[in-house]
Amino acid sequence: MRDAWLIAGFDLRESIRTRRALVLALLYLLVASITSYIYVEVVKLAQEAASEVIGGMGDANEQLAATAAAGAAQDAGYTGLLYVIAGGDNVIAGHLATYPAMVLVFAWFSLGALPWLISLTSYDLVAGDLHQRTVRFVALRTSRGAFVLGKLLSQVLLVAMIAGLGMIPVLVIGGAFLPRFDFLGSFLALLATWPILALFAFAVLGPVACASQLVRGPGAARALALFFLFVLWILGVWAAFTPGLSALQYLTPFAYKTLFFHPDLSYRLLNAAGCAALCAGYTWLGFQVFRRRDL
Amino acid sequence: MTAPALALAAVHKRFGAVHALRGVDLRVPRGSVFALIGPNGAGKTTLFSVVCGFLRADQGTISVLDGPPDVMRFKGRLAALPQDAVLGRELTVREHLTFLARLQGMSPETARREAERVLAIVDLGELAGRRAGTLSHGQVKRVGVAQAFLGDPELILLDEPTAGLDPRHAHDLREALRSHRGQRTIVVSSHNLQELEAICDEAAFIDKGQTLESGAVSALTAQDAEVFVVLAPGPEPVEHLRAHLGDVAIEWDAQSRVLRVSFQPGPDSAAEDVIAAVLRELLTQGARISGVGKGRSLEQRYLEATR
Repeated sequence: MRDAWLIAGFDLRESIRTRRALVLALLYLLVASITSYIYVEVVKLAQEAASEVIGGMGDANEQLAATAAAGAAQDAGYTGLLYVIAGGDNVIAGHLATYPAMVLVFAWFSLGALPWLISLTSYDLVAGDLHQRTVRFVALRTSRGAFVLGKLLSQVLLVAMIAGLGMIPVLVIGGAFLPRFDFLGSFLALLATWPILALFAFAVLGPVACASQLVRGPGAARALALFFLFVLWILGVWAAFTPGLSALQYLTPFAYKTLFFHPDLSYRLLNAAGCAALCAGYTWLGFQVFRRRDL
Repeated sequence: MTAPALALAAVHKRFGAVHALRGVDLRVPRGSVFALIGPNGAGKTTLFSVVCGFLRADQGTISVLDGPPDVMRFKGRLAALPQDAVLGRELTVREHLTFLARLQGMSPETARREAERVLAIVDLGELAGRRAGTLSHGQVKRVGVAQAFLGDPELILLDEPTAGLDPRHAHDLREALRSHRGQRTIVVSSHNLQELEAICDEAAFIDKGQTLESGAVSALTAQDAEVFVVLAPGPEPVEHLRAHLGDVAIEWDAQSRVLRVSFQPGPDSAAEDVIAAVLRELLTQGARISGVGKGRSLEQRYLEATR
């Protein structure tokens, strides 16, 4: 484990200095900013539209009733949206409602974008070193297992860092444009979503690490990682709607998003364990090839 | 007799249709500086990779430091300069070396000190803070050599260590290798046979994935069993020598004007005695001598072996 942490630390320091990491971090920041801004604009438009309609009413009682009705309609719409996001689970939908809406939008956007972001940042975690033969400097000093584990940990940390950076635009844009933005509450909620993103990254990194160990060239590894994720996504959707086969969706990372928002801690822990197991399983599959391959 | 640092018997390695190693046999004595000599594509790099465990042999037995190639067993005891491996570009030379030293089990402080020590061996101390991606080809090669010396391992494999180095740094590296004679086992592959002859105790010729010959450099180059004399233009008393020198074989190459005398070494017939006898006879016949030496160069032996 010591060697794995050493490799993780070294690889992380190397990764964050690459142009690719910088571009992807900026891309993530940009998309997080755009998402936050769109949310702000939608909220503003809804408020303006409601004020316009309510302002046109002469009677104060009517205005009060209309305000209440508009609020109720917005709440109903939001609750419906949460119900859809929660995959039809009322308990999870109820818990989602406890998060500040802007944080939830960011978290959901991140969980949706992470698989593709990871496949673009981490595809060469092993294949890159194989291609350049950099692995030969390390292979005489530690086991192949420690090498793969170290690389995996470094990518989780990298993704967590990039996801952490993405929180900044949420706070900045929310604070700047929303008059009643709860900065502290949002910050704490963002902090609470951070481990969720890191744990979900584990689940996605499994198939990506598997692909990276199966082939030698980074280009082939990227194509294979994207292919794996696409196939798993299709499998997840198909399994979810096929009676009797719904358990198959837990072979895909995409099944592990909503349960992180279950109010019961045991569900969340079980989900985290599922992410780790998925990562370990796929990585292990790839390792069966890597441990025997010529370096 | 101590066990060899490295022993290979009938080792085969195929890459699809290419049969890179075809039954290589090799014994590298402990404490020796060993030369692995062969043309491009002879299988030297494959052999190094098999010994390091980067490649798996298809057949044969390999003993590295008294056991099979297993990284966890020879962690820190075996180091190599892999020929085509590339260092990451973004971190500094010092960071790379410290990291590799730490993987060998050193503490952060010891690793930093060790990094400075090995950089001094290859005269790169002042570039320790430079990003690896900004180094020249020769400097990268020297960093590669430096990492092989981290922790002073028992067995060091250097694949073409002086290729791409300027003459001064190549010389310094040769001196560094020479200084390890008898303390560490070093296996070096190179195309520069003069260089190998100067620093190595033992050598093996390999070609087409097979060991052609191996042994002490002095034996391979017949230092104890052959002398040569280069004659300047003038008398060529070869027949006189044949008639007057006892149990020796004489070879005369009129083109290069080199006279070779092979003999059976014994207590009374050391190379120096034979040289004295040959020169005496030649001088009495009025021959003009422009050079004298023992044995053949490693290059000559290599050309003969691979002919």
